[in-house]
Order: sequence, then C-alpha cells, then structure tokens
Amino acid sequence: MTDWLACGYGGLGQLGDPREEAHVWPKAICRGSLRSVSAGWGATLLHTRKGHLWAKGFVCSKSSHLRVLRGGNDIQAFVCGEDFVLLASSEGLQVWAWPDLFHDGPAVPAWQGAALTDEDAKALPLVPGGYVELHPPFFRELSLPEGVQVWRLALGREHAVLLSFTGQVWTWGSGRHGQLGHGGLEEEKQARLVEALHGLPILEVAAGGWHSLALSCAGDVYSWGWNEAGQLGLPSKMDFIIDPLDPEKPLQIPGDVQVGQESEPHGHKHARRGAENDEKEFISIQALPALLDFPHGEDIAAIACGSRHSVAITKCGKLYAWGWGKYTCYFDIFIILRVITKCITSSFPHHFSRSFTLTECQQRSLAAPKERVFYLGPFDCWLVCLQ
Amino acid sequence: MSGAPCHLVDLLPESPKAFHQCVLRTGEDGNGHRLDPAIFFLLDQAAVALYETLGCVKSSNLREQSGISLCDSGETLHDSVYNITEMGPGNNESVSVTKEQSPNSHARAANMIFQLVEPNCDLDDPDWDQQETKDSPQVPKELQSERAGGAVLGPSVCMSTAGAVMYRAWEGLHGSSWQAVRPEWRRAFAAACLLRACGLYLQARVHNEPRALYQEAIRICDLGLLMGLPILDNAIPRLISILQTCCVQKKRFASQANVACPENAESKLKRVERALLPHEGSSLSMPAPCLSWLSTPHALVQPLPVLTEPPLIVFHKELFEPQRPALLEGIVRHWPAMTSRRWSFEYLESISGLRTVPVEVGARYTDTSWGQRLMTLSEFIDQHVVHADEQLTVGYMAQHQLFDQIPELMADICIPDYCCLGEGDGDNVTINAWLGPGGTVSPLHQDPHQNLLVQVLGRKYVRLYSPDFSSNLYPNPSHLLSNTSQVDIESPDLDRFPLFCKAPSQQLMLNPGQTLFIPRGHWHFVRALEPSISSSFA
Repeated sequence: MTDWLACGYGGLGQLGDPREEAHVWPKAICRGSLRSVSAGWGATLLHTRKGHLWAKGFVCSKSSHLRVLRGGNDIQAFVCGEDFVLLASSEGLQVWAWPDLFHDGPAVPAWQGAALTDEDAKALPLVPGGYVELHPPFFRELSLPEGVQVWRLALGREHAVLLSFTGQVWTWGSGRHGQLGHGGLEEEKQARLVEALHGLPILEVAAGGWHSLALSCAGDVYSWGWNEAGQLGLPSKMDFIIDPLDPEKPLQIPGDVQVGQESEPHGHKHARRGAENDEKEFISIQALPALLDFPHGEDIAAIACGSRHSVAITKCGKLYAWGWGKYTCYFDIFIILRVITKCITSSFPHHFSRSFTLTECQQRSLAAPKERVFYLGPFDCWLVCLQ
Repeated sequence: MSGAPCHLVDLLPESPKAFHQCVLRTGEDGNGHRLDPAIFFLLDQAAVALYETLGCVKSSNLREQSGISLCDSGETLHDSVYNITEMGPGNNESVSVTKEQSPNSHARAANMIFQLVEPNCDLDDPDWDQQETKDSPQVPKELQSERAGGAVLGPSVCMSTAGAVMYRAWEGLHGSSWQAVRPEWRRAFAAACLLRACGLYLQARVHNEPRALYQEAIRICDLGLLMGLPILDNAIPRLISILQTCCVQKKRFASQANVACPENAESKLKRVERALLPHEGSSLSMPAPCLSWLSTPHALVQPLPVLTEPPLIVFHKELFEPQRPALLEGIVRHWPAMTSRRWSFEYLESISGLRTVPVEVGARYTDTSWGQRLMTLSEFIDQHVVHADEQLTVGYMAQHQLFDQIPELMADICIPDYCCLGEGDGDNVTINAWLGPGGTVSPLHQDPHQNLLVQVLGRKYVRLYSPDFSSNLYPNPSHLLSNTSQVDIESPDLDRFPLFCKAPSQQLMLNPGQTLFIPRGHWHFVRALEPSISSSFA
C-alpha cells in the first residue's frame, strides 16, 4: 500500500479539488493509501485498500467520485482509456464504457474475455493470445516469430511497443512520427524488431501518445518518436511563450518543495520572441532510439510516458520529468515548457524525504517483479508513488 | 461596458445553451463517434463564464438558460449545477479561492457539483475521507492562477477552461493523417479557440497594455481557423476583424529608423527595402548549378511556348487538350496586386502581419530536418525574409491557402478564367500562396491537378519534365514521397540515376506578372532567386 501523489490537469476533479485546475506540484490524491491507480483524461480510477474501485473526476455528467460497481470485489488490474476501461477481475476480463461502470444494471461490457490469473493480470494489456486495446475492436491477436516470449506491452495512441522476455523490443502500428524506432516513417502492420537496440537488454518500455521510451538494464533511457514538445528529452522547437498578462512573472515555488540545484528555474529564462531568437537546431521527429543524458549521469530505475511528456525516476529516488507540461508547472496562459530535464526532490508533509528504491534486478527473470511504481495518464497528469 | 462587447454579443448565439447546440449541430457528419462528454462540459463552463461577463445572462436566469443535455444517452446535467441562486453565502465560506466576496462561476459551479452526494457513495468507507469534500482544501495562494486577485474573473475562467479543451482537442487533431481526423474534434477545437479568444478580448479591453492580448487573441483565432472547422456562421473570421481594428500594425520603416547601430543602418535599410519593396529591372541570371548543368552535353532542353493573353479557346486547344506547359503573359496585369495595391512584403505585413501562418523550415521537404512551424506573418517576414541570411535554415510559407484565411488579400487577385477548364467546375479552385526569401526550393515533383502558377513579386527558376519520362526521374519509392523525384536536379548523381540525362526538359525564369501553366502530372522544380511571392490556382 502506498501513497499516491498526483500532478497535472485537474480541472474536472480527477486529482482532487476541481477548482484547482492545475496541480502544479505532486500532492496527495487522497488521504488514504491505495493499491493502485490508473488515469483516463476526465477521471482517475483508484483501487483502495479495501479492494474497492473508485472513480474520481468527471463521471456521469458531473465532477464527483463514484464507486465502480463492476468487477465484483476481486479486482486484479485495470487500465483506463479515453472512452473505455479494461478491468480484470474474477468476473473475467472486461472492457466497459466509462458510464457503464457505475450502474449495477444489466448493461453488458463492450468486450468480454476469460478471467486471468493474477500473474497474467500484471501484464495487462497483454492477454493470452494477444492484447487488448481501449478502442474497438479491443482484442487483437499478436503474432511473433517462433521463440519470442512476450513480457510487457505498452500502447501509444497509434502504436505498440512490446518487450520480450529476453529484453528485445518490438514495435508496430503507425510510424508517422517516428515512434516505431526503425529509422523511417512507414507504418508497420506486423511486429518488427527494433534493431537499433539489439544487444542492449531492455528492462522496461513505455509508450506515450506518439513517442516511446526504453529503459535498459544498465539504467540508460532511450527515446524515439515525436519531439514537438520535448517529450523525448531532445532539443525541441517549442519556445517559451510569454504570458501576455504578466511577462515578468517569476517562478513560484511552494514552500515545502525543494528544487534541485542543477535545475534552472526555467521561468526566468523566457526567450522572447524575436529578441534573441537564434534558430537552434531542433529535432521534431527522432526515428531511431537516442540515448538520453541526465544531468549527473544517473542511472534510471523506472520510466513512464504520458501523452506528450515523460517521467523517469533514478535509482536514488530523484524524479525527472520532461515534455509538455502546461498543467504541471508555472502554468499561466500559454507558458509551454521547452525541453526540460528538471529535477524535483520533494519533501511532503507526511512523507518526509523518503526516496524510492527499486530492488536491483540482476537477472532478467524478475521473479518477483516490483509493483508498478508510477503511471502516467494520457493527458498530462502523472502520479508518483513514494514508499 | 458599451461598444465592443456588443460586437461579441452579435457574434455569439443568444445563450450558452444555444452555443452548445450550435457547436454540436454544425455540419451533418454524424457517423456515431461521440466526444468525451467532459469536453462539452468544459466548453459549457467556459461559455457560461463568458456569457456572464457579457452581462447577457442574469444569474437567476442561468439555470433556465443552461439546461443542457450533455450525454447522448439522454442524461441531463443535474439542474442544480447551474442554479447559482440556491447557493447562499454560507456555502461559500469554506471556499477560499478568491479574495473577493463574489466567487467566480467556475468555483461556484464546481462547489455545487462537488458537494452532490451520490446515492451509491459509501460514506462510511474509511478510504474516503469525506472531510476532503466538505473542507475544500486550501488552494495555496501561489498556486492559484488569475483567479486570485484578478480583476475580471469571468474571462479568465472562460479562458482557462477553454484552454483545457484546446489542449485536449489538439491531441485529437494529431492523429495519423489529417484526413482521418474526426470533424467533431475540429469543431470542439474551433469552439474552444473562439471562447478563449473572446475571453482574451474582454481582458484586453480593461488592461493597460492590451496590444499583446489582442495579438494573442488573433493568434488563437488563427489556430481555430487553421485546424478547426467553420462554426457559428464564421464567427472566428468576424472576431478577427474586430480584433484587428483594435490593433494597428506599426509601420516597419518607422521602427527600422530607430535601429541601434548607426553605421550599418543605411546598408541594413537598403537590404530591408530590397527585400520588402517591389523592384523591377534588375537582371538576374540563372542559378550557377543550372548553368553548369546546361552546358553539359547531356542536357536536353526544349523550348517552352510563350503565349500572350490567349483566348480560352486557344488555351483549350493548344495547351489544355494536349496537356502542354506554357508561359502566359499579361493575364494578371489588371490585378490590383500588380497595379493599384502593388504587392510587396511590406504591404502584406501592413494588411495582415498579425495573422498566423504555417511556415516550412528546412532546405527542402525531402530533408530529415524539415519541419513546419506556425508563426505570424510579421515574424516570418522579419526572420526569414529580411534577415534570411542570419538564419540557419530557410523558411518558406509554401502551399498555404492564405486567401481563404485572409479575405482582404483575396480582393487583390482574380481567378484566371482558364481555371474553369479541368476536372470539376471552376468553383473548386484551390488557391495557394507562396511567400519566401531567395533560395527556397521545391524539389522536382508532380501534382495530380493542373496548376497555374502566377508570379507576383520576385523571380523564380522553374524546370519542367514531362510525365512521359517519369521513369527517368526515379520517383521516391516510399509511399509518403512517391510524387517526388529522388534526383537533385541541380547536381544530379548520374551514377545512381543514369537515365536522368535522357529526359528532355523545359526551363524558364518566371518573372513578376507572368503565369506558368503546369499540366496535371507534369514534373516541376522551383527555386526562388530572390524574395518572392507567388500564387497558384489548381
């Protein structure tokens, strides 16, 4: 059981008070601790200690919190999408439309599959025989060459990234933004090995809207795909755009948050349009995996992607985030963050200086895989779990 | 407030409910896809905030006005959501969002919503600390945006809520291909842009330095035009014309006179003049790579016919039927853009400098570093035309339907009569504008429709190849670039592309006032030799 902190767009109440439109710094999503969470755009699903599943946010035409009545009392895992939710429970594997989750009536799920074992449920959206997407037709078969054992799957908006048991990465789907990592922009209908990562055992993969990340066993992060907001951690074309109401507004940091020394308070670095606007090299699309440099060469322990942003946690517990962050920091009208590798060391009132640890995974077998440590929503909110 | 808010009132439907219905109803494409109801919820909130500020809708009437059906399943929004009159002051005491006594509509609505108790909500569940909803935790002052201490709260709520919809819809717009984007997303995006721009406009009217706000509002409107669909009877172009009257464009030369470095001022001014003003009579020669290619024994160059104001029948018989390219003289000599309102970059900037246009950045679109950006016409002219040699990469406003976006410019041109020939009728002519510095290149490619390329300012070098020799031109095998040749025709790699020199070509310098007829499928290569403005009719 862990405490979950949330950050990002909360104007519909999905992270707490709907009046607080932007949760700028991570703060607790609710008072108790939770087993797990998953975020859609308008609502968040929370799995409580007691095994109940609650939805918080815009559900059934209003901002509120409602208890999910499907899936009985024995919910194994769940994944939220924009219009549908995938639920694995003792009643089987079901895909429900959001409004149908909250009635006890005779509605049928949009898709129904066989029940999964607890072990299999951890691999969602992978299921025996294929995987489940959160839009029709939901179930898709997966065919891979002989001998490839699947381990984990990450789904982006239009692509999929698969991690095999031996640490290989396979991708397929639309490639128009380079998110497949094969060096071109062509679509792949069948799973294709990402050869650029050949020889590097990959520990974890993540897929954002139009980009992908891979974490190697050595603690390096590789990114590829669309970089229009800097979500790959590479130089991006997004300039700072000044808030026309208050161009000189300085950075505002709440008192209980420490910002790491190495990060520049980027609020002070507004590049004015036209003044010192030298055209630097920027990358819009990175079609091959690129290695990311973190400020101190730290080793990364876990990664996750939102729709247009990415987050990583280092082995010593620091959190890095980069990409599109309008609702996460210093939001004001149209301040869109440039590429940032920004370090936040947060000390919160009830979790003082606890840092995140990941047991060392020497071997690829991961007999007791670590709980998913954090999860990113499709639209710019992210939730972090501190232990 | 008198005056301008009335303009807004004319622009918008009479109530938030009507706004909602107009946005939903526009267009007839209902293929069953429904957007997340949360989007419409936010749009309604933004609309309510806007209407409240405009004073069109009294609070007590808000309930009746805003009884909106959101879900297609027939569920209606709980009426008390918008029933502000039921909120007594006592309910607001726990709300410490604003310093002022009157809470803004967003907080009020949210308060109301959040305090509703659902029948199946287990109040005894210790997992849910119900204090959370009753106490309404303090939102720290520094984390509040313009809600705290802002003078006019209605527009800011409208703007932030509409902004959230804009960002959400933006993601819906960026799918795999533009054709596959659902029109519902585009309409929602346009509606959000409209609301946000209205909010900005209202804030600007009470601000000390409104210019930046007006410009931002125009920028938002342009985003709604470029990426959205027309809504509310073209409300966005009407809003733009209101905004432009508030924003007078500064004269470029007046500001240039204040350039800080006096010793370079004169040469800089001359360079600026050369870039911006129309000039005739200077002789420009062919680009050097082309000259050297022409002198090789391989080059097969055929003459290009020149016709002066041919009648339609002659055009049809000599050019359209045999699908032969030709240079046409005198067709556009009566255009206002060539006579009374002679086009130049300065003229364009004065008319529409604040408008946002898409610009292609990168040497050519076959390069991997090529990309598209949005910037105002003023910025484009400043960065990529006047100061083009200081930039790392070339910027080209290419193939953009500028005349649809900026109707004032449409008045300066006329569609040539020859456009009525061809597939379809003359009403479906796509008019593109091409603005850029010298050095912009369109690599050798073909288009599925015929084209009339009119040169308005500056000179371009054009080379043409017949589609009969397409195999000599080695089209790109990839699907995305299959209409583009792989050969760099200014320095062809004859080892890789040996058949290239066997293809006969026609070439010309396209001067201002001349028109080039490019038949359908005809390969063409265009290089601008100096800052140039063209328009094409397809």
